[in-house]
Amino acid sequence: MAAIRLENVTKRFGSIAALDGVSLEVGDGEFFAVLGPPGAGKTTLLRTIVGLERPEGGDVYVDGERVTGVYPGDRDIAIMFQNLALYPDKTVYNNLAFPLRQRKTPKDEIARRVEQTAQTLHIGHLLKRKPAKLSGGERQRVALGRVLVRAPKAFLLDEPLSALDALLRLEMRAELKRLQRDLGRTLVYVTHDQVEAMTMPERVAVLREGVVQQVDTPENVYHRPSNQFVATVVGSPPMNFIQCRVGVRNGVLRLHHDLFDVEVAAKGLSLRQTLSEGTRCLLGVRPEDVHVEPGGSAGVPATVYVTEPLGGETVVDLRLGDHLVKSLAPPTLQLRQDERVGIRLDPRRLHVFTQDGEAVVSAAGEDLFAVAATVPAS
Amino acid sequence: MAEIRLENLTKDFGGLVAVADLNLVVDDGAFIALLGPSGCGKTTTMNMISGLETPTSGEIYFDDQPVSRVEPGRRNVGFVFQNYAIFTHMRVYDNLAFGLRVRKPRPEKAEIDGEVKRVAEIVGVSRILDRRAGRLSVNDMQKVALGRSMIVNPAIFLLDEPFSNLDAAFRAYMRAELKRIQSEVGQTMVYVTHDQVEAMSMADRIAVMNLGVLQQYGTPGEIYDAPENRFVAGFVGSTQMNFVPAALVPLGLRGGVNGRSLTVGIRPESIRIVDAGAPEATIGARVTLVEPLGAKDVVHLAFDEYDVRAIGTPGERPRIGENVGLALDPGRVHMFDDETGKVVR
Amino acid sequence: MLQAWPKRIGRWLAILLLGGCFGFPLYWTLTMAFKPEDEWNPPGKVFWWPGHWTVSNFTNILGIQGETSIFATGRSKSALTPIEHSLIAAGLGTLLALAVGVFAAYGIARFRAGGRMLPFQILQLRMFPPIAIIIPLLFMWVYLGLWDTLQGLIILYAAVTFPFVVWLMRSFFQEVPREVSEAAIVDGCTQWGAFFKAVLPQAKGGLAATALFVFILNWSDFLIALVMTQDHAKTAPVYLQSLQSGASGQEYGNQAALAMILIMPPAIFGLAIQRYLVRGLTFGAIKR
Repeated sequence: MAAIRLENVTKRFGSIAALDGVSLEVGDGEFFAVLGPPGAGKTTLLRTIVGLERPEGGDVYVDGERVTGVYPGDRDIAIMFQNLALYPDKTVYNNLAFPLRQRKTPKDEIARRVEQTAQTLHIGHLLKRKPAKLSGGERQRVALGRVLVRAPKAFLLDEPLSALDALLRLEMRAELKRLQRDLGRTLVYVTHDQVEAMTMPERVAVLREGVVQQVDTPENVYHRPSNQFVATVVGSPPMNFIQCRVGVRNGVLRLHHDLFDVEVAAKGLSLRQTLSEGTRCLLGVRPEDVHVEPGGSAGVPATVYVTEPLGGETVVDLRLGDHLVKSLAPPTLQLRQDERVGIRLDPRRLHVFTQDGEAVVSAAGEDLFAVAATVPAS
Repeated sequence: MAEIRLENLTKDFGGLVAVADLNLVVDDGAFIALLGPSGCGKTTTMNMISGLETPTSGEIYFDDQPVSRVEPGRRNVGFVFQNYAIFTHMRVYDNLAFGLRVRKPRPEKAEIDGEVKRVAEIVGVSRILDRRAGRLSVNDMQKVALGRSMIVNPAIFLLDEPFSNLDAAFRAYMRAELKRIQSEVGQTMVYVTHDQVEAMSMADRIAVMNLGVLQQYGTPGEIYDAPENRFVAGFVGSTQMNFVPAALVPLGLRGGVNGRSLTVGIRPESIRIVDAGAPEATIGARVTLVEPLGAKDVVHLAFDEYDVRAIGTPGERPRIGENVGLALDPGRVHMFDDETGKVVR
Repeated sequence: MLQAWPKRIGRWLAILLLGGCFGFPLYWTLTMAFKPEDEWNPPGKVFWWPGHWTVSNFTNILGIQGETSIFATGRSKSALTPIEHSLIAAGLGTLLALAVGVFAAYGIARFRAGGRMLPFQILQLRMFPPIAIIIPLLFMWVYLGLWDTLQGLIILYAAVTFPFVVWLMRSFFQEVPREVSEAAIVDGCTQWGAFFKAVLPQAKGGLAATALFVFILNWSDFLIALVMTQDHAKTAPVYLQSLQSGASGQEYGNQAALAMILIMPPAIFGLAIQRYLVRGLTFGAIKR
């Protein structure tokens, strides 16, 4: 039985649909992430699950029970807000104890659970302090503790790490993942940070303007994105998209670009149905699958637009005809601006999208394509 | 186009020393980044360069002219802030032209027009010159803000985390664009950020700061491959460097230990995962966690009581709990003195 | 940095002038309160400082000692009762205004109760100068039997200051992020529980400031009490005005003494809640 299920949920604010027919299932004990840019509806989604927003259409189920009209306090779901919303006038102890006191938990039980939660999160020494006297990371933990202490059926976390500085964020990421595994409880995690969405959950849902784009494991979202938006949202630097024309020559389906051709192998014959001759399509290739060969004698001709050394690797921006393409190169490669190079696209990692952005096929390691330069690089 | 020189620059906020005795030279036309965590003094330093703060002691020179007593408006510096200061009720054209129109004497209309079009082309807003600035997307607003500060041709550009409000894809785009613009226009640029990726990708040299003190000033390559202390080593690098006590790592340390307690630092990408008994394995460890990043994996391993991270290829992913060997590239090992944090060569 | 001389002199002059304007009435009243009758307003002379210090004015108005002057008939002999009336009317009026206004303010701030225009409509109540409607109110009050009663006064004070409570508390409640009350709800509180346990403690400072402000307004009211009271519910400001007689004209000294006494309740109230006020002013322990 799914711990949380949304069936065709729609939530409007005025004329704007923050959630539009969203259907999702989160498994019991699953670490589930919702990824999307600001304004996608992620916070609205969490608030609807916990009951702070009432959907205009559709239903929310917790453990199989319909909870759509049920008061938030009765749903046995805890939410951690993006701005933490600690009770500033109460000590850390009382912040953690508050939800238990509301449920008329006996005093010694409260003490036990608060102590335990504080230990787990390493805030045991802060119990007598008030939120104003805590650092950002400590406040984060208290907010997390307030959610944990209730031991609810599911936790909802709204961008819990977004306000932390880089080092603290790394620490907390690993800690959260370990915590969820140890506790074994359902966790729905909302973020706009694609690294978090890739590394932490078992499955991720990509949300855009209230519509679910794809729900899958992070791997599949990365290697088999269902549309251009999903392909852009995961992966840093983001995927490159190159305009091509579909053509047939000598009975072979081809994707034409001025500077190169992509031949579709026999395995990909089924593509003929979706790609008709003469139409335009988008070829998607991630920067790490674009390989730079200096000297420009082999591969597709391009010029270096700018280089961004990141230490462990270098991002090279290349001008490919009238496109700007990013590629990842090893740090040892020294390139000058406006230098001519040749680039090689890894055919096993190409993606094809229709002009509207819908995915047609992702090679995902298979030998579906072969790339050949049409103009010899010189 | 000016050289900036900071000499013994100090800012003391009544007990809280935000910047301590900073000495820095920014070459004419260079793009440098002030990098560090919040509270390190980077914003205060930039405020002193711009004139919004007066130094407690020390001096700032633009092309050998001391400027710490000069008002901000007279220093000929351009700003770009985090919250893109543009006039939302004006058109993009008027936003860009504003800086020129308020000049005395006011330039000719044709001259203003030429400049506006030139800058619009550089930042990429030529097609939306007639739109009301309030109606633009966040990304376009930031381009307009950049253009507004460029058009008055300041000698020095100061940018304070201008891209932190933009979405990730656009940020990546703007980084490349800004770098390209700077190399074409040639203005001295000082860029403040806490994001080491930004600093590394754009700057010619990076000044890493912590708690008001300059930690290291060098090219991205130097900062990354030859960090001078443990802070710099740990702060820069997308996946953080691993730090393990030297005593635990059998590496035949050159020069001996001299009775000092040392820590070994090695970047995850300099560690190769091999079979447990293989001859090239320097140490053994147990896999605890695998974080898939798409193009690569970050593999967490338990070594003694330490968490070590290595980069793995998605195709050869080890299982959790598996005991493996780690081959450390001796050429890429750094050693830090535990007491001072400084690197030991 | 040294500024030009003329600038500094000019600044000091301005400060002295303003300070003098504000400080002088206080100084004058204070000294007047301790002057004996012959020094109040002697022809041709001004006593800048009491020649003979005396507390007779205080004892006079409080009716402790016997009468020393010819009093106008019908005036009660002691200020104690009017002071008592003032305390009750202003105190309970303030409480009533707060009781109704605070909840109204929360409903408006949190739930947009009454629509977007309600806050402005409430403010409009105060755009009427009370003097414009005091006569019709008088007829109403007489008809209702509320004229010259403390109840009538309390209701009126509450009604007149209610808009201020709503406007002030509304902005204080708006400062409390809605997630704090939502967290309380998710933690299991009802809306009322969330209000009392999560939101109100946050707005303590604002509540204190509002209470003091409203109390001062009611305490110093003259017009309403003048029209609406006579013998039974007369308040201290009205009584003060009646301190005059055929023989001595305005009894300045007595008036000054009463004025000094009347300063005390608001001052004491303010001091008592001072620590809440400071916290209310430095509000903002919210994460950005």
